[in-house]
This record gives sequence, structure tokens and C-alpha cells, in this order.
Amino acid sequence: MILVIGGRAQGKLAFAKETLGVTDYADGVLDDKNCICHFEAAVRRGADIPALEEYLARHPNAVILCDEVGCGIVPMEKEERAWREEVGRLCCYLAKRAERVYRVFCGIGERIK
Amino acid sequence: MSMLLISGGSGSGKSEYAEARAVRLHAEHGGALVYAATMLVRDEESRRRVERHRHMREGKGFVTKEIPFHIGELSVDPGDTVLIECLSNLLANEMYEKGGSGDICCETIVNGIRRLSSQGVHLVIVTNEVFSDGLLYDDSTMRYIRRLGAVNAALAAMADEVLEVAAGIPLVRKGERTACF
Repeated sequence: MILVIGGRAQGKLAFAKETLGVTDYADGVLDDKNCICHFEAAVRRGADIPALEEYLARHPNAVILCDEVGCGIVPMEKEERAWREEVGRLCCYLAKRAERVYRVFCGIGERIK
Repeated sequence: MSMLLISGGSGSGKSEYAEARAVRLHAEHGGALVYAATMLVRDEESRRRVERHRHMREGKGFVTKEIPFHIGELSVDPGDTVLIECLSNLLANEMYEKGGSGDICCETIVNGIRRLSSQGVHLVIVTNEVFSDGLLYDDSTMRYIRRLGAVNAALAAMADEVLEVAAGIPLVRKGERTACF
């Protein structure tokens, strides 16, 4: 499994298509595709570790793209705070499990694991 | 003595990484292993957060010292390892809480940490990336963001090593790449 993180609109999907051979992807859901774009949106829809494990059992070589959402002022709304933190923690979990991790900045993918 | 500054966003895994570095410094240098806790616990959510971090630290030999203000007054001995978590809380307390230093909050924090550093301790300092949501806030919050940026930059200039943690992975911003794990 490959994890690709980065800020919003940094070119993660373009990087994944060009460099990681991604052609088809699911958007914001843990769908039956080998690539998940906007994993942070899937977390909003309730994606958690059991759901991820079930997905990864079917797609061991998946490419997962996730916006980094934790680098702002702590939101006033409890749900927003919980979501941000959950996205971060699941990214830590995925990074530990991943064979490779890339971070995309201005379209440039840096391999960080 | 040494100074290590660790930053990262919410849920980035920076606390866990900072603890691991502090534990290793302590194993190398002896002395006390001090956890300087800066959070004022007021509600259930912060209580749970403190609980979670306390659980993470359990069995690692940390002595917890509560210090929500005036970090320079922390009592330490030469050779101790001190993990300060985190600057974003410390700054908010200094700026907004009764007992804080108000307009001289940045100086209080930076000079306080300089003072600790001059006492020959090994410092691991956790800060927070709050700079990239692109939102406009009220004047006070904007001032807070600028001040945290200034404190981070001042401490990064003093630090031997500066790291950013993303998805639990340390990224070297200053210092030797070989030092991190």
C-alpha cells in the first residue's frame, strides 16, 4: 500500500497518475477501486480502522491519497476538531502500514518513507 | 545539553515521536526525565486529552510537572531531559489567562526556554503547525498565529535540531538527518 499526503490542491492525484500508475480511483469513499482519493472525506463519512482493514484486505496494493488537514487553528466546533484529529491519526496508522509514503508539495512528490 | 524543536499538525504523531526522543536522550544522559505539562484542564475534552497523553507516557519514567505559565521558572537540574508540550498551549495561556504575561508573552517563552537551556538540560520542545488553513480570524487570533510563528522561528534559530512530523514520520528541517529515527 502507498500513502500520499499533502495540503489541499498540491497535485496529489496528478502525482499518483503520473508516478504511481493510478488510472481509476474512488472519490471520498472506500470503494472497490485500487486508489482512494480524498481519504479525509471518507473519514467524514465514517471510515475507521476496521473499514480500512477490510478495504486493504481486498486491495493490498492500494494507493491512498489524503489531504493534510491538521495545520490550522483548532476549530471551535467539536466535530471538526474530532475529524481533524481522526484524519491525522488514521494517516499515522496508514503510514506505519504503508510500504511507501509520499508527501506532495507544489506538485512535487517527496518520498518520506 | 541540546535543544530539539518538533512541530506538526493536529494528529500528526508529534507527541509520540517527541516522547521517544526524550526517552532516548534520558537513556543516554541520565538525570531526571521531566514532562512539562502546559495545558490548563478545564473541560472533559482536555481532561481526556491529558489522560490519553498520560497513558502514552506510562511506564516510560516521566516525572510530570504542571507549568502553564512562566516556563523559565521550571525547576531543573543539569543533565535532566525536559519535554515541553506544547508551545501553542503555553502561548495561549500567557496571552489570554489571568496570571499570564500578556503583551510580553513571546519574550517570556523564548527567554524562559533560553534560561532552561543555559542550565544544561536536554530540551525537547513540541510546538504546533497552525499556519496553513488560510482562514481569516479575529484580530486577537491573528495576533496569536503571528506570535506562535515568531516563537517557533526564534526557538528554531536556537535549536540544534528542528523536525516536522507528518503522518508520524519525522522530516528534518535543521540538523543532522542521522540523528532522527
